[in-house]
Amino acid sequence: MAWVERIELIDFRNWSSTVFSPGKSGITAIVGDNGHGKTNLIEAVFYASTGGSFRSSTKDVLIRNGSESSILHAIVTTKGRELTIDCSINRSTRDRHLVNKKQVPRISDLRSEIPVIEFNPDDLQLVKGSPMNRRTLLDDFLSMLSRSSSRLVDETDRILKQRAALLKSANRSTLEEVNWSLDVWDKKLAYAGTDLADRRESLVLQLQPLCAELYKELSGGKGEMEIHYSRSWKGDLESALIANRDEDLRRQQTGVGPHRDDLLISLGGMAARLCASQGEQRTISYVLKAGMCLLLNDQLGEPPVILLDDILSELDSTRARSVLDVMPEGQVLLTATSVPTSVESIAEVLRVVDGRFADV
Amino acid sequence: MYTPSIRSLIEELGKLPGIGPRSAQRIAFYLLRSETNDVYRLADAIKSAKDNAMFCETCFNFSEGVMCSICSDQTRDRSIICVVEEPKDVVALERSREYKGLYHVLQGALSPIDGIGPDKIKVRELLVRLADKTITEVILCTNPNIEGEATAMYLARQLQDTGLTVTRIASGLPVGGDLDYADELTIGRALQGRRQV
Ligand SMILES: [Zn+2]
Repeated sequence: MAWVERIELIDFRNWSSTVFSPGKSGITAIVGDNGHGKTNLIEAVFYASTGGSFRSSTKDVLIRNGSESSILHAIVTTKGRELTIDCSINRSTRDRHLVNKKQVPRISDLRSEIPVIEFNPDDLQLVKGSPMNRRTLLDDFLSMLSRSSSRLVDETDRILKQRAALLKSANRSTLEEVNWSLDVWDKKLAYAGTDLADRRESLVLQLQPLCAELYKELSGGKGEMEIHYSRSWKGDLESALIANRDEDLRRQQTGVGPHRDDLLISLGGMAARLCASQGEQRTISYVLKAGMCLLLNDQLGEPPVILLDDILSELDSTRARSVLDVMPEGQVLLTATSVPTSVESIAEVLRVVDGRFADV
Repeated sequence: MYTPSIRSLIEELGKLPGIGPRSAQRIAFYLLRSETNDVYRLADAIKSAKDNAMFCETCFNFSEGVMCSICSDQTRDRSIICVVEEPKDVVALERSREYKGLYHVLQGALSPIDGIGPDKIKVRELLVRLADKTITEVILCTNPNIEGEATAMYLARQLQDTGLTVTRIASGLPVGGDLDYADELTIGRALQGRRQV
């Protein structure tokens, strides 16, 4: 089972210095008023395990006001090994991320090392938001399942950027020269892009029955949830790119490829983005990530570390409990302004006040 | 804060690859604290390398004359050319002692993001060289990353109908890496296992 045994935070957001040792299995509820730092605590867990934050892309906000750096030391057990993680996030020098005392050469490789999934209220965007939200989700899931997928995601992104740059500068060369270069990048994009779309599609096929079942359970049998991977091209990608080349040159962007695909989500045969109520959309977004928790449990033989940031607040007590009950049995860290009564009996409750654990 | 000369030293150091403003400051202070003779020796080394180093007019590797020591070495196999991105790749291949032919240094790889198209690297110069009928094989030894692969693919197509044997260094090199990170044995194996493209 993947679990965080201990994490020490020094000058991370509003935490000046603390050690957090959550329970190995079962639910640890971090409770406190908004703005006191409970989310910061699970953000620290997420950062130590992945090298990134789920709510900020700038690192400066992670460092406590008035400090030069922020330090995290964590001990995480996964795949039968104990990993020691030491991070420093620095305002003016390079960040460090050491696993077992060795610097991680590619930070994105971490994703396949430590399985951790976080849920937060913005997950609603998975249903309502642009297709990019859904592609990013699938790519993140793939990266958790294998390092080769994580590299493929990065590689495809890089090729797309190269092709975009080529399209933008095309008017500075002769058409023949541009075509020669595009031939090369199209071949590379076709190869990587097809591989990525295949992997996403096979992941969606595996998630589909899990999600359908979870949705049924959480909605009390109302509505069939279905997910389906939809490609932006037909046939083979290289031919599609070549067929679309004139258009691409005119618009200076790549019109077909894995970056234009989507994950279609439907409820009772209707597009969830358009027809589902706010509550249904919330359940769907939850089910997508919960389905992945079950799939990881299946494929890795251990449940991921599950981080739930403020997602119970919208639910009544009974529903809050059933949402937790569908999760694989593992380590769950959740934040809430108050713990629903149905959850109180199954959780260890820690109170947070102003960047410190309150004495209970 | 700083005197103009110290400020300009920090500025110049900060322009070097991989040196941020903080490191530039640290290096500047280190130099100012060092023995005068040590600092002069460094300055002279930079100046003399810059004054004497030039590119070989044949293969575009570093050279101290119009022709480098490899191109002018008559014992090397002149029928085969290994195409690499940078002079450091020549060093890595030479270290493996596996290769006895000539080189061609492209001085870069295709990367539209960085504004590098075929006209910005030594592709035309390669094609001119290959018109010489003594050459029978070209090994594409660009880095095993996206830009290196794209460059190899581009060259392979350019050389398609020339009648030359065109090979690509075998996989087995660390993916996404640079040639000069690979050890000698790996490079040697990759060279032996090269495949026709
Ligand atoms: Zn030469």
